[in-house]
Amino acid sequence: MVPIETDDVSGKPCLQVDNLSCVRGDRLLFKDVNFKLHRGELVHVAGPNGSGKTTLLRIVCNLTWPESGQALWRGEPINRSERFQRESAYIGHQDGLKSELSTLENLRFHSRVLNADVRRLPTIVQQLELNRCQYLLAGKLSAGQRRRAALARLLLAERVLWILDEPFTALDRNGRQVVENLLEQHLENRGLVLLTSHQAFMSTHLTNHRRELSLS
Amino acid sequence: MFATIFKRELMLVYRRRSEWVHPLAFFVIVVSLFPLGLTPGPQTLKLIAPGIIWVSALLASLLSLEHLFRSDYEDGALEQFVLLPYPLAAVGLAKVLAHWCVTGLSLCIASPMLGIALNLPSDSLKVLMLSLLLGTFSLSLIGAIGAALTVGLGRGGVLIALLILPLYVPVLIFGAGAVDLSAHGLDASGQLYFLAALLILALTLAPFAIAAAIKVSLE
Amino acid sequence: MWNWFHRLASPRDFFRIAGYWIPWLGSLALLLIIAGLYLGLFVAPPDYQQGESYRIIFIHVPSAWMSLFVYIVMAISGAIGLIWRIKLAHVMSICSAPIGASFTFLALATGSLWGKPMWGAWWVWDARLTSELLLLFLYLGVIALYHAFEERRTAERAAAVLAIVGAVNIPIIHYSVEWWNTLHQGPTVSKLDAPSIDANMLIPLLLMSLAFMIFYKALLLFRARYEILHRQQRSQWVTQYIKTL
Repeated sequence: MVPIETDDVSGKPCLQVDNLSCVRGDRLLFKDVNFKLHRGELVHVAGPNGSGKTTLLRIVCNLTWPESGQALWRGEPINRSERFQRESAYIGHQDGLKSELSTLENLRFHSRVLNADVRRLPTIVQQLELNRCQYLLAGKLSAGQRRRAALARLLLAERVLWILDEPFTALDRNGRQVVENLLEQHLENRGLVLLTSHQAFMSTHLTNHRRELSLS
Repeated sequence: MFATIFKRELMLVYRRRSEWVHPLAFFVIVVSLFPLGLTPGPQTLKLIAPGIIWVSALLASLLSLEHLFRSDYEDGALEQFVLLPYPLAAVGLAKVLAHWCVTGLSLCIASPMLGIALNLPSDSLKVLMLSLLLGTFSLSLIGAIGAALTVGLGRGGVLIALLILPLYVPVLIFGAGAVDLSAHGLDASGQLYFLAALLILALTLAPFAIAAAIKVSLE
Repeated sequence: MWNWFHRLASPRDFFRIAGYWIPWLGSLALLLIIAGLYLGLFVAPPDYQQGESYRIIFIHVPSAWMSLFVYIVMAISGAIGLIWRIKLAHVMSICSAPIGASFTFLALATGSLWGKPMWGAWWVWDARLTSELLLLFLYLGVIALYHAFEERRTAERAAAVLAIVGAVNIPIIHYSVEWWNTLHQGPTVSKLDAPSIDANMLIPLLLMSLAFMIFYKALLLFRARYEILHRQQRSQWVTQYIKTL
């Protein structure tokens, strides 16, 4: 799905985070956070509530600024890299779905703004088991269905780097299985994943391949 | 891309009818309060009509703007817009344009009726509509900056008025001025040109301020 | 030179350097104000039209000039803070806002006092006074927006955006108000555009303007110092400094 590019053979990390620190109010959230992410790797950011997991993810996808340090994408600072914008996808706490539009209308809109192929939509809907609720207004969906609809955007966008903030919240066992399958597939396609999650993975493959980054 | 966002916004505004019906009703009610509070004398009404209609339109436009970025902020759609490899200023402009197409135009269309009720001469109704057409778009553009700045606060209401109303003054002056001149049987084209100039200025500068304000609010 | 700038941008060095300058600037401002007031109130001749009441211009005009100047400083330092993410620039911008608002208020109050003998009313919708009133609203908007946020970084950046938007609008507001004024009242007697101003009046006016400028700088450094102290309260040098007091 995600093409392997020639410049990745060198073994250089795609995403490199150097000495990030973040201050909220007068409180130091974290400092000296360093990690590297190569193709086919998954980093699981762990830490108690309020340790800055969400903030770290928002810094890495360029929504907010660190107090010091920087994040590099293929050697370029992410805030100046147009390539980063084209190659990364972020799903935050909120789903980004409009309650007044149906699930399918929402996804159709996303596929248009992401320049994705609209013809792939039925497959994606099938893959995330959204077919039963595709004509329902997004406001009427259950929390788990909304989550899956939000994650459908990842499949539409076809980006190399996935940045996911608590992707498993509100998902039932079956839903988790679906999402974990997506993650496994993405890693097999040599994609990169950076995620936070309170729960451990069900899949042994993901458990064995994850690296943990702990924020205390 | 611009057209896609514009169409989505139109669809959303259409499905959230209260968003434009409420400001419109507010506009009509506020205008009709003035004769009750002042005097129904036709000469006085004619004198104060341009100011009343324009100030009411300005407040109605302000009222409608509060929701402009609110729901996108709350459900995370705004974050997704920021992350798109597409200029945020254009996204902001598409949203404002769609918003104005519904709220601004509905104020415009309702205005001649109110003009008649306030005893404006029929010749100046055309100028009233034209001035609102040009002016409310500027108001939407300027107001969107305030809406974007206060979107993260939860309770924007009075604050957005405090931020934005002083910036509305030039539009108010030229808009009401145009109607006033035409109500006295004078040529108002000069004032309408000024309104058009303000609109062009707002169109070129406001989207960038809106984009900066959205980024600040999301930080 | 560049090195010096860089050091000034560090909060600790700024705190020290500002602390050194404040007494000098403050005394200079005081001296100039005394000199300006003496020349203005006792030496300058009475106006042939307005008699003694014109003397309020020695406060009114400098504070009106300062109200605009401080707004521009606020917007420019806000822009510097936004673009280069320099914290000290935001401190300067935020600390300027209440000072500028006070100058604006002073200009309005003195203008209104002056209006009573001149026009026979405390408030007249004169173009300059109206512009000044709108400027006060712009200042209040910036201050209110800054205090509405809990997160300081968002607050200062939002206030900076608003200050820049306001600065772009000031000339437009000014000219539209002027146009509105001529439409509704006809040209009023302009206060300052007298054909020639006596040197005995001009010198105290310039002295007072200079004094206000220096006074603003002293006040800005003063406020900025305490803002920095407040912001850096958790750092070691502040703790040490507090102990030495």
